[in-house]
Amino acid sequence: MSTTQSLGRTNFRAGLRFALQVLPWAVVGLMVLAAVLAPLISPYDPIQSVGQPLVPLWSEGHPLGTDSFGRDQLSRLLHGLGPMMFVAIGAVILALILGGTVGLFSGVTGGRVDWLIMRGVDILMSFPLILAAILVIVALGSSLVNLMLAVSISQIPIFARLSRALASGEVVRDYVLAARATGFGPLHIMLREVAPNIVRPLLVQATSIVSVASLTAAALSYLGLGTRPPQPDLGYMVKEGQELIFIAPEQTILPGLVIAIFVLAMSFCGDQLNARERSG
Amino acid sequence: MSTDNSQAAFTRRQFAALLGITSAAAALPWRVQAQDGGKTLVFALPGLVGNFEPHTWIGFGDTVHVMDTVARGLTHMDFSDPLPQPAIASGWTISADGKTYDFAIRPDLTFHDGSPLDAAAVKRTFDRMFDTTDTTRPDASFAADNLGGANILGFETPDAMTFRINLAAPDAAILGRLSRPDMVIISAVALEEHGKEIGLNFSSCGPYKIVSVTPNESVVLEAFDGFYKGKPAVERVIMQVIPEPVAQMTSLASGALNVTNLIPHSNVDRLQAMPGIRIEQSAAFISVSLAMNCEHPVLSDIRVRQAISLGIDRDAVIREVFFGKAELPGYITPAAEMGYAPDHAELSKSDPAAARALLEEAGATGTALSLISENSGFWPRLGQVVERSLNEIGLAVTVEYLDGGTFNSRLNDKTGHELAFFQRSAFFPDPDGRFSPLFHSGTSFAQNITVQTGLPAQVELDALLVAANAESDPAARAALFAALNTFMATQMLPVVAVVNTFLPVAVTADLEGVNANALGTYRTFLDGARFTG
Repeated sequence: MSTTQSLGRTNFRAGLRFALQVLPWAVVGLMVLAAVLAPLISPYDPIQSVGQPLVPLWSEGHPLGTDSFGRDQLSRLLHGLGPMMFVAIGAVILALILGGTVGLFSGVTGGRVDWLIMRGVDILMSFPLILAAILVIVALGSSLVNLMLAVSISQIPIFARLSRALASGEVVRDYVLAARATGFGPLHIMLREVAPNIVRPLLVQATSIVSVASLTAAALSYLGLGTRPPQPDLGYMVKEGQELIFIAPEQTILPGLVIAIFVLAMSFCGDQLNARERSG
Repeated sequence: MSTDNSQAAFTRRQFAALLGITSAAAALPWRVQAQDGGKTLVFALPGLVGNFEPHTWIGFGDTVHVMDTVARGLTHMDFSDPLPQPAIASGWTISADGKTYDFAIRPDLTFHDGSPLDAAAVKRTFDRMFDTTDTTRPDASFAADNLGGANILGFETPDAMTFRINLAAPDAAILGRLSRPDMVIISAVALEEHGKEIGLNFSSCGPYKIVSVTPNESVVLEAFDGFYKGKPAVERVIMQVIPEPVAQMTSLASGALNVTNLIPHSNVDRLQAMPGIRIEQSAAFISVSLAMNCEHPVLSDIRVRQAISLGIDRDAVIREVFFGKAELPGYITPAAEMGYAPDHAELSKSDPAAARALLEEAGATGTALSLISENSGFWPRLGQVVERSLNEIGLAVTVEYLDGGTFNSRLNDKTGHELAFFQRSAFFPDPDGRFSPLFHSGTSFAQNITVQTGLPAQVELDALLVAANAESDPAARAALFAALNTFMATQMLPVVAVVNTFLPVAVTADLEGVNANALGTYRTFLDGARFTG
């Protein structure tokens, strides 16, 4: 192989690697944009019957067909993105704040308090995630906010343990010892010394957790614990389309595909951030 | 760090091979079963608890399928005839005052366990229902109320093969009620041996007997040669738990399943087009209705209830919820049952303009109402259509989708609902099955669900129900129930009839004699089934 060919091949590979690195971020960005702009770009009202039931894909006026009520499927998918992202991202932020704080406190305090808190986290973690979320929804009622709360509860232990591990590693470092020697109290050490040094890895983990939270949210919606029909909800649309799988498989495949693409893209984004964090 | 993968315990190729072999092995028993010369019929169950206690049965579920297949009562209604037919009783006589029924028990019958089936054995079953001191009686039993409650004075055996029921007042519906799944005759010997555990050791006199029960999995039954109609043609029945409709359809297509009545309405046309599968035509015995809390300050006005009835887009319900597999209702009695009259179609028509006018007249336009619905099956789809059509006539209806337990709890609490969906299927096709158990002032339904006992016409309704059930002539009785439909729809309207439908019944093409009308309303009579070829 000539030097030119070799160089060309190397450039192609580099370009492909770059594209693959950028692709998940582009997908996530596009989906977030679609969710935000859904009211503007949707061709129809997602809850109104605007056509014949079960119009197939690529039909005139309905590129993704209609559902069994004659509602435009493209419009419902666009409007269904927002709730899923709201729940997933909101749940992760909530879990990050609550779990991170608990773990930080536990890791800095140490001793029996640390032991007790972590056993509590272990108990919470041993409870089946979906079951815990279902209990919350049944107790509080079905709504987006309650769904977000339910999903966040299932993610709190993850952030608590990570935060505690990171904080435990930081408290034995020189700058913390110096702060103690200077006379700063535990609160100052927690918030001003340790917290800033563990935020970044927590945020990186949060990105990965968004994909898990999205799946949990979709699963709960599938069980009918999400938004109330006829409001578009991707997980519930999978369930509604399930019985039609032999006559209109796109009814269940399309919302499932949208969920899968978002989860996959977020997962890749999280992996990239993790890799970058580990390499320093 | 070693990177030598040659020592790996399990390669991807080995895993794929194992997966393929395991999948093939898992599929093999089904194909073998389906190819055993047609001696085994596989029927789909939605679930299987495995306790077949008839006197705590309250409807639906696995119990009714198994009970219908392994047990029989004094009478039998197979949905081909509006009148009860002899079953364990070869016939009966009714006293002139209508208060005494003498049933002649068929001679030489035995239970599955070989013990004799005589009048004493029959009486044992009914005594257990009514005697609260009977130690074999289950703790929570509604069977006595379901038969007739306080109207049942007692039971006698004038001779060895005659069983007598004494009533306080005439009740022509009792013959139909004796065909209910909770009225089946239980082996007296088994009762004495197992007591309250009879549900786990059930023995009766139906066309099939239980061979084995695996909870959450299957029930295996074999033909009983002592059945009064003779041994069924199909030697073995396996009732297999396949809860998912999609799994049932694939099982039907592969021949691993022979009969199911759990196919969604949306898939009927698709299944019909598949080779080797046949959709049996069923009459629409299942009423889908909307109960209204008549004590609600707005719903207490009959004009509002009428507006709700007029406002529901029933054509949209038939099209979008049941995919065409439903029909417009009369009122309480469906067209397939005795007591329906052609002019009943006017009692449940849709007229949005008239609905809006009535709401305006009643000053109820814009009223916010909540409607509770189960969140499974066709109910969510129905909820969306009804919510849409009622909001279009000027109400502000919000549907709450609830799990089964929460839904039933709120349905039976008169403070827990304003509007509520419910369905009524014909466990036996006697018109009173849809009237007295629901709308008589003494029932839990009238007191807690429709809360109608305070309506001015309730007293008259109670009297009309008693009169209709005292009438033994079928034609006269049918006319009385037809009049009851009109009376309730025009004077009371505690419920709105939405549509009538049926459970689609799918069978493999090699099976004949399946009672589709019964299967279409949850009853399961397989004794007439036979494989062709």
